[in-house]
Amino acid sequence: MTRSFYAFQAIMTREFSRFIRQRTRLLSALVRPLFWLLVFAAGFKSTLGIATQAPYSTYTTYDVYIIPGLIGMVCLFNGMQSSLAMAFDREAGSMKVLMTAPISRRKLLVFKLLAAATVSTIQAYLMLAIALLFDVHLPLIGLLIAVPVVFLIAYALALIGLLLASTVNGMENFAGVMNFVIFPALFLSSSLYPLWQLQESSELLYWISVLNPFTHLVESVRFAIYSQFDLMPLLGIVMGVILLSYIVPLVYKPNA
Amino acid sequence: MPLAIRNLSHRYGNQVALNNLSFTLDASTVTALLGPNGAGKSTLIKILAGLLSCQQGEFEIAGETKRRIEPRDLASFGFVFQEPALDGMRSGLANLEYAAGLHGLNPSTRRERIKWVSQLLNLEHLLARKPMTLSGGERRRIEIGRALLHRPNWLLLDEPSVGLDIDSRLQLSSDIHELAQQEGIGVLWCTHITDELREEDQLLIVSRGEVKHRGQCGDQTTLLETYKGIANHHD
Repeated sequence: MTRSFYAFQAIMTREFSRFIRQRTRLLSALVRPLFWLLVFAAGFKSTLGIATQAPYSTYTTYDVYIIPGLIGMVCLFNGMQSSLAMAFDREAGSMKVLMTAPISRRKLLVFKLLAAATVSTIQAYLMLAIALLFDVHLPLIGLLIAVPVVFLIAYALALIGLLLASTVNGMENFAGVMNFVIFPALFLSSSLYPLWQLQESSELLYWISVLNPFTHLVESVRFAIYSQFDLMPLLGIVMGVILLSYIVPLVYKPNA
Repeated sequence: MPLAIRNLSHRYGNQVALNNLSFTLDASTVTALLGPNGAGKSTLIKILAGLLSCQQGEFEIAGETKRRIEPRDLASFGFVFQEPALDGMRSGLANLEYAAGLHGLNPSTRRERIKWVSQLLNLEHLLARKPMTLSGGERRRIEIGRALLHRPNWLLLDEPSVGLDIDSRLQLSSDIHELAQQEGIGVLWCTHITDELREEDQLLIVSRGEVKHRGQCGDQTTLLETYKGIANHHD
């Protein structure tokens, strides 16, 4: 137990040191969602208001609506980026240092994911702090209550990233697959527009978006921000995380 | 206590990498594992590191016979891999602290061990620097120090001197031999370069995954003749 704790501490320290050191990574992680919020949402704020729908109790402006989607965006990008870093470590050989520690591979990968999810959560809340400075109306208590849900989706997305890194060989391939995953996940979901609006345009795209796990991750955050918890999707996410946590160590090849 | 490897076999598809490989690694002894490219040296190290699963064979570690390397067994080994594996963006000290943490050492033991390996391998002046500013030989010394932090019984080196200049190679060889003597560590040294070895070192020559020769290294001329004879058959 103590040995595992010190290993976890070492992995966290390394991940945080990377996070602090790679200022451009932090900057790009913030610029991307803020661009959506401060440019795109500002442009559409007056035309794309969202009629009353759960969890909102009143008409919602577009900048408020896309906040959960932007949190998802931060977690998605960081999850993929941390998996890219793992793919890089594997190619550079430094993954071997981790994999030859006298701790089970499952535990080591979970520690890496916890570290990645912590970094994602911090980035998401930095983005939220900037959004508040720009007068986006969000419930402060709700933002605090949502921390565990944001952490859970950050963990789930890091896990999906790790699954990709486990099955895709080579850095170049992984970078390509990342784009292939990120953009459909983002655009075929409820992160940037409500699904009923999508349904009006295309029934097929609506159903693809309903089946997209990213939609449910974003919706969990949306409800949590307004102190509402839809248990079924949350349970589904937890079950998915448990299932993937079992599969990933089996398919992860430290030596590939 | 020796490390025994018995009847170890491994295949990549139809290609045989190791075929009934057996040997024993004694404490305080440097055992050289010589063999041409593709002889199975790196496969052996990867199996012992738990990076590849053992398809056939068994190990005797600390008196216990087992069919696969468990994570807890890794505490008995220190590894230096062929490809340098330091985090180039973090200082030498941060690299050592990271490895010590992964091995579950508490902060005070960590400090004590880092001080110990620094004195042992003369690393003090390198610790504040990032690996990218160090020479190949200096980086290798940090990697060896890192492999020793948890006080392993066996040190497994996979061609650690590749790419080093003559002085660095000879310094590395001297460090490794001193370590084996002073600390009682059993060293398995995979290499192609025979002048790093000493006459009293144990010698295993492998080809096509099998041990073709075992004994003492002896003098360089005899060693080279023996090696060339086996390597020619490998081709």
